[in-house]
Amino acid sequence: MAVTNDGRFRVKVRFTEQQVILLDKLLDEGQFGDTHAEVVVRVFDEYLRSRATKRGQE
Amino acid sequence: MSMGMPEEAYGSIREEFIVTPISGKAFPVRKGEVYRIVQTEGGQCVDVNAWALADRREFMDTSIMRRQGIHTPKNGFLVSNSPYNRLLMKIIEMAPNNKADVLMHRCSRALLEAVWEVPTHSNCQDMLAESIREYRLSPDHVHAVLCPWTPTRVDEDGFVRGIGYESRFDTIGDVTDILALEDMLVATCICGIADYSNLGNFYPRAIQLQIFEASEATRQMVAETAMTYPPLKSQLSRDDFAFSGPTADYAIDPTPDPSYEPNYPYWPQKEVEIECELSPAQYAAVRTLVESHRRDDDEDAVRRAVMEWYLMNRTNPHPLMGSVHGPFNGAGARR
Repeated sequence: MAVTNDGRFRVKVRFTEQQVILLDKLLDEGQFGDTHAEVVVRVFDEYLRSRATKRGQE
Repeated sequence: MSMGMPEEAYGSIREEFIVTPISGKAFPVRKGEVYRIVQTEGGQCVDVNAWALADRREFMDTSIMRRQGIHTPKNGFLVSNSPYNRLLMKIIEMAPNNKADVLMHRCSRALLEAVWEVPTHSNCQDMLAESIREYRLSPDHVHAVLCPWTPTRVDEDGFVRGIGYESRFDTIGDVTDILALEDMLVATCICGIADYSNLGNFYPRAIQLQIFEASEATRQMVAETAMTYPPLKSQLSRDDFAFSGPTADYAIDPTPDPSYEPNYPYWPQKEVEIECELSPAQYAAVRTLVESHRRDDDEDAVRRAVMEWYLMNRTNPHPLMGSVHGPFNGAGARR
């Protein structure tokens, strides 16, 4: 993990080539960004939101 | 390590093999030998098939093994299909948290296409088929699997749920030791959907296979099993099946095909490294996942989150998967 000059955190994440097939599908949807990195970050946000929603329901 | 027969009582190691993701391997295992699967890196769902060398029509049958529990326990048996119904192998060592599932059947191309819309993905049916091709068996010989390190449960409504392990470190270094009570062919693969499922922690890793030669102690254990559960008068012999052809036609040649070259798709496993920029809040969430939810590290926390989200939000409900990864309400539930 590295910290950028503007205080953001760079994390390198390995995906298998078969997992990248799923990232490509999300890319094709057009709503998660234009690169794999953008897809990963936006889906990660969606995941956190869904966890928060689930905790709110419990 | 051993809570039953100590490893010192086994014979010498005659075979050692690292199964790399995502692939499998088959070996003959003789009566009295011990077949060991090692979780070298932890958290890996594993699929096992077993056939009698003398007759490939006789194989381990999980539907009858379920009578011992939905997880075959330590000291439980791999039992052959009806009408043979023989005790083929015995699990003699496994840790208490090692749940050897016999409900899941095995993943297949059709499952991956139906649920993830990825028709070319690695899968246990194809990998087991490829591994036994070395011994001249064909894809139709693959049968329902024994899955060590695959915690599942049946909920109060009777639906099967895949649970997985919270952390791969819960099983790292563990072994499953299986004693051969007959001459067998045993095939093991890394689960084909380990990267798409929590049952493999969303990241396929290597396992190790070892075969220990028979020893006086293991032969004694085979003999004691035969005394406790002697052959049954009602069990049909292979000669009773003469109507379907000479028995010799069904024997498995235990010598590997010298021309065999393994051919698994997406093997060896390739990776793509993606560098992501996270806000302080997002990174704090990553650290929470690592520290409170036992993800391996930052990478594992992010990757697992993405794959879990995809599983819950972009896969199709389908009878081939049923309720394993989420509620399934039948044919009307297609997304």
